[in-house]
Parts: sequence; C-alpha cells; structure tokens
Amino acid sequence: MIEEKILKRVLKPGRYTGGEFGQIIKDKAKVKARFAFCFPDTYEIGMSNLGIRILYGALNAHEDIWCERAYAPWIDMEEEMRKGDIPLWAVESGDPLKEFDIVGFTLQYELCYTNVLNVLELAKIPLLASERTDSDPIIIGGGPCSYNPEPVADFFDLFSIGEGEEALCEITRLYIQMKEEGSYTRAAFLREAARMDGFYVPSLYEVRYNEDGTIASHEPKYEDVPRRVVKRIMKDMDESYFPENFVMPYIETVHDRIMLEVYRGCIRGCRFCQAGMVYRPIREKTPDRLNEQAKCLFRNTGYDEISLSSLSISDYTQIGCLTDKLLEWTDDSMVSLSLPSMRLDSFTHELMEKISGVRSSTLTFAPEAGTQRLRDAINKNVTEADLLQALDVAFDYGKNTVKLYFMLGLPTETDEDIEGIAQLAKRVIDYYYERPGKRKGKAPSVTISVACFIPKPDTAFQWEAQCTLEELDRKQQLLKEKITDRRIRYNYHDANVSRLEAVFARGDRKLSGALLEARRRGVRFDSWDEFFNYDIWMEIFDTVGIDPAFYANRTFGEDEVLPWDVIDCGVDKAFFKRERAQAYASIPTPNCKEKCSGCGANRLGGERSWCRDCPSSLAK
Amino acid sequence: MVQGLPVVTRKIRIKFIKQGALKFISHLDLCRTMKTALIRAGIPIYYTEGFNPHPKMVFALPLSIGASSDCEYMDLKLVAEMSDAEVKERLAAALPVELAPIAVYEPQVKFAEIGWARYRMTFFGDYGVGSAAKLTEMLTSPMIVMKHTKNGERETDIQGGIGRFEIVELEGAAVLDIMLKADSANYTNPELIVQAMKEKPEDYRIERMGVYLADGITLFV
Repeated sequence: MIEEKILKRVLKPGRYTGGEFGQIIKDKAKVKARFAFCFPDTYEIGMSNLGIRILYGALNAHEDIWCERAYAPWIDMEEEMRKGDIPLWAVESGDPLKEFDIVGFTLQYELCYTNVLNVLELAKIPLLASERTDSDPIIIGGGPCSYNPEPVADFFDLFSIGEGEEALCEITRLYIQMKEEGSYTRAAFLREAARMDGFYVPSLYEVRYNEDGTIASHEPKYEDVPRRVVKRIMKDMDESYFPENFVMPYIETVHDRIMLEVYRGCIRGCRFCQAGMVYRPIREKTPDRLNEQAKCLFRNTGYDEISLSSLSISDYTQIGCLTDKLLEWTDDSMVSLSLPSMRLDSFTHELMEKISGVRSSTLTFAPEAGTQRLRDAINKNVTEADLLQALDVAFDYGKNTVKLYFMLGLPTETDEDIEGIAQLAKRVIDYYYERPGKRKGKAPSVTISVACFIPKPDTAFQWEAQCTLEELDRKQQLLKEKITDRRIRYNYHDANVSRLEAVFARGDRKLSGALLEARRRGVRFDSWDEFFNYDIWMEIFDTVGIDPAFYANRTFGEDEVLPWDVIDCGVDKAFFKRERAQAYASIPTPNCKEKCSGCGANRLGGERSWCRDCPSSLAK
Repeated sequence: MVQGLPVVTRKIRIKFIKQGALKFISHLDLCRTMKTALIRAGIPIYYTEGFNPHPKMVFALPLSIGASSDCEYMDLKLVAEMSDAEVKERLAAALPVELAPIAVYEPQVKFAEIGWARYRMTFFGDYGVGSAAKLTEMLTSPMIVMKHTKNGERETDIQGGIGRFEIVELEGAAVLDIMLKADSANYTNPELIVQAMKEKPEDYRIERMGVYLADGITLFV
C-alpha cells in the first residue's frame, strides 16, 4: 500500500487504499496471468460502471487469472506520484501496473483519451504500442469508443470489439497458452489475436490518405488478418456471466446501488444515438433470471436500492412481470426500485405506482427536439400528446419538477425548431394550470438541459457536419431569448467541449499526434469543467498541423472510406444511408417491435430478441 | 397489506475496530459501510419511520480520517430476537477484518456519559531523543489552533481539553500517550495537537486506545 503520509495529504484517500469488501485477492505465485482493468477517470466514476464489474467477475472466475482494478489518480495524488517517483499501481495488490501481463482500458467517452495517456505515463509504460517490448504489458482497449478506435490506435496493442465477457477471457487464455508453450513474443501474440473473432490489432493495418486528407485505403498487412472486425455479442443473456456480488466501495460513488442489467440493445432507432445502434440486436433476460440475480446481489451487497438499467427500460417486454416479482420481496426488505431511462410514451400510472418509493420529486424526459417535424427527422418517436399524458401521471403524484433534455444543432434544424423547445417547456407550465381538479405539491418548474449535437460513428448522422461554434452560440442565444417564463430554467452545454468530442468521435490515426502533444503539455481530465481548456487544444492542433474543422464541421462523403469502416458493429452502412434519407424527408422509422427495418444486426444471432428473422425471436 | 410497526425487542452495542485501509474512510462512509454490512449480515435492525426509512445506528465518538482505533462503539435496536453471539458472528462475516466487531452486548452506560478518550500519538522525524521536554512545554502552555465550529473557523485554546499524558522517546520517534476530552461539548480532536506543533513531524500515527467516563479513570463499556 502507498505510504500513509501521502494518503494523509490527498483528498479522499479511500480512492487509493483498496481493501474493499468483495474485492478479489489471489496468490500471485499461483496465477498464470495478471490482468489490470483500468477506468481512465476517478475511482468514484470508475466504480459506478457496471461493465467493469461484469468483466472483473468474468475474468476472476478463471482460477488462474487474477484481474485487478486501476483508476486515474486525482491531481493531488498525481503530484505526489511524480514527486516521489511512484509508478501507478493496481488497487488490490498495490503492485505497479507495468508488472502486469495485460492492462485493459475501458473507453467510455472520447474526452478520457488524454487520461489514458497520462495513466500509461504514470505507470511508466511506453505510450506508443510500437515502442513497447516483450517485457511490457499488452495494452487492450474496449468499450463504446472502440467502435472508432482510430484516434487512439497508436497507443493500443489491440482492441476488443463488442461485448467482452467471453472475448477477454479467450485473449487472456491465448496469452497464457503462448507463454506456457514458450512461443510468446508481442508480435506473435498480436498476429494470433488478430485471427480471433472480435479483435482489432491496429498495427496490422496500413492506412493511406488522399491528398485532401481523407482515407484512400485501410488495408490489412497480411492475408490472415480480417478486412473488417465483427463485434462480439453474448447470444443468450440469461446464460451470460453476471456478477453475484460487487466490490463495495467505502467512499461514495456516482452509482452506489445494485445495477441490474435487464436487456442489451434498443428497439428505438434514434438517428443521432450511437448506443442504440452498436448494442443491437436486442437481447432480453427472463424475469425469473433477473429476479434471481437481484435477490442474490441484495444478499451479497446489502444495497437497498435496485436500479433497472437498460437503454430504455420501459421497452422491456416483461416489465410488468419483472416489477411484480421484485416487489414481492423488495418492499419488505426496505429495498427501493428505480427505473431510469423511462420513455415519455411509456410512463403510466401503473408503473408509477410501482416506483412510488422514489424519493426524488424530479422527473426527467428526453424529447430531444422542439417540434414534431424535427422529432420525426431524428426518429424520436414521441409526440406532444405523449408528453402531456406523462405529465398527467407526474402531476397526479405531486412530482412537479420536470427536467427535459434537448439537443441543438441537429441535422435539418431550423430556427423554428429552436423556438419549439421554448414553447414545449412553456406548454408544461401551462398544462399544470389547465388541468382540472386539485393540484398537488409545489408550483411547477421546468428545467431544460440542452446539449449540442455531436455526429457519432455508426449512426444515420455519422456523415453530418457539426454546426460551427459561431452557429451553436447563435442558436443557444436564440433559445435564451425565446424563454420568457421565469419558471423555466435553461442550462446548456459548453459548445467548445462538444466540438472537441466531435473531433475525436470521427477522428482518424492522425489525431494520435495531437494526443501526444496534449500529454507533453500536461493535458488531462478534459471531461472535467475545471480542467477543460479549449484554447490549449486549439494550440495543440495548430502545433501538429491538424484542422479540427476537418473532423467536426465537415460533411463526410457517403462514398468516403470512414476511419471506423474497419469495425463492423453489426448494423449495415446501407441501413444508415436509408435512415439518413428518411431523416431529410422527416419520415420516422417504426421501432423493432412494430416492424423490422432490416438494420442487419440480426445476422449476429441472439436469444429473446425482437428481430423478425431471428429463428428464436419473440416476434416469430 | 396492513402492517403494525415493528417492535423493538432490545438494544445492542457493538464494539469494533477501525484499522488499516479503513482508517482512511470518513464518518459518513463508515455509516454507509456499516449499513450495507448489517443488511448483508441479515441482522434484524430497526428502521426509522417516515418517508425515507433507514437503519437506526448511533455512533459513540467521531474518529478523524487517518486515525486507527481499537474501541469504536455503535448502538442498534433489534426488531427480532438474535443472540449477541450470533450478531457478532454474522457481522464479522459481512465486514472487512479491519472493521471487525470485537464484542456485542446490551449497553449499560449511555454515550452521553463519555468524558475522555485516550490516544497514542507517534511522531516521526526529528522527534527522537530530547523531544519530550519540548512536547511537554507545548502541552502545558496555551495551545491556540484554528477549530471548525458551527460559526466557521475560529481560534480556540485547546489547553482545557488536555488531560494527563506521558511521553516516551525512541530512536527517531516520540510516543505521546494522552487523555483528551471527549464529551460532546468539549470533544478535542487529536489532530489539533499536530496542528499546534510548530515543528511538524515528518509523519505521525494516531491510535485511539480507550474511552473513559467523566472521572477519567473508569473505562467506558
């Protein structure tokens, strides 16, 4: 463990001490491979991630593999580490990360890239994959950002594409096998890994560029390396590994409760949403299995809150059955249920009754756009009538604080659509007073939280340009002017942050130069307001000769080779093109429950899926 | 379904330790950790009434972050019969060893009767041979420190909070065995002693050794 005198000098020392109830300790002399799973942000954020909890358990289920955790140190601890020449360690054993066989990073958001580089540097592991030797750990990336891994391709030895429960175990087994056979070299291992399903080894591909900076070709260097890497999925979610206990943090984390993953995928096809595409096809767990998992986690963790987590929980086909089963025991055990990610059009009295234990008086919905025309264009299939119906339920329960999420700068957006946001917010207030009958609770208040549209890979809007900063600023101010009611609070995101996110979301390998320069200048924690510095980033791009507008504000050609074409997320490009055309015609696409739109993801298979052509589907 | 209020069968006191990595968690974190541990252990604890029921736990004394202790106390109410031995056994299995329960029993003395706590403070660095005289002088003179109070930070003399003490000089360290006031009106945090030191030790340890009644002699149990 790190010296006590240092722990006394830093904020929240509980971030660094480990020793949590439920952590897994193994005899390092007896294990064959040591895996360090790093979340490149603070402990509190990292410990709230369900994916890591699942993979931590899945890897440790193998007796001869020991998976530990690591996080980005906060700046005070970083300073101590640099001053005292202390290399970054893993929480369980306290051993330096560089002594591990494999170090995995989960890439949850683009703005964590500078933290990845900082963590590698603090761990004294060479930043560039090309500079690592056979004695350095293998650096593997995964998570949502790995659907376009190119901006960080130079820093990773390989990426695990898609769901990692089986894939990470397989790759670690390959490592063990090659070590035991004596055939291990970094190069031989990576070549072998590239032949396995779901692994992308960027160094085995050659990228050539056109004179205008776009990609001419992205080709494998060898014949046995796949042209495209197809993502992995867990076919049967009931059978898929799910932890029976959690590592219990001592300090308060962001999500300090049981997270029960109900299903994967999404039947909605919001055209801006990457998660809704890359987690397809939808695969449900059965209510019995979920109930079992919830009971088991309750017994083993002692948490008194269960959050039913999924992209849109009310779309779960058996939500009524599941909540009934859970309520049979949760009430008596003083356990409360929470259902985040509720859609407007599914918010009913019946569901509200079941979650009435919810303490918060705030309800949050995401209409995303202010007019029906634009909501149709982005395929957010909710109407104003849906909103009013949801408000009826909310107001009946005295929940008079409503939060609405919107986006500015969406493709096809006009000033009329922006005015529509202000009008919709006003409609909520007016509706409260229009309703007949007795009013419950305090006077209503509405908060509208407005993000900037960011074009993301693997969406119908992946080719779209982000509005320029000037245009985003004009739109933000226009909306401000249109809000006249004092009961409406208006928050909007910093457009500078959204622009940087857009650069890295659609970036290519040339951006690795910018990230190295950022590290040289000490940039990290970009996703933290207090550290984000747009001017430094513009200097960095200038220094390395990169034009951020090329990535953020350019409309990509539909026939252009995209940096992420090498990754196959399961949904076809042809589908995205069709969806884009529908958007320009403001025509919505039915959800997967209503009609299959032929996105292509059903070729990956999956049990208890909605996919029509899938042999075991529910819709058969 | 109409349920009667759960009936409290009896009160229990749990004496536990706080050591190792667990020294570094705050009081709020300790409450959360104890709460989940009690639920994991399946101990029939009493929940507060109201909209937001939570297990009723009362702790004897605060303990500053970084200090270890062999004598922490927590009182609970049970709503069903469970023997002291079983509570102890179940809770031990649900807690990390560094927060282990060492005794479970029915309380005879109230927390309000606590008057003093005894600490062992070890100072490292230039606090070896010859430091006793200096420390003694400091501890017997007015000791003005900045103290957090309800009205913000203010200068306070903590001299009145200091009881009998003894100093042992070692090679490269000094060990101070000291009684500090611990009643709720005059709780004296041992960290304040470090704060009052003009020459700060390179490193230091604080261990709470015992809790006493107002006479400063009778051990609290």
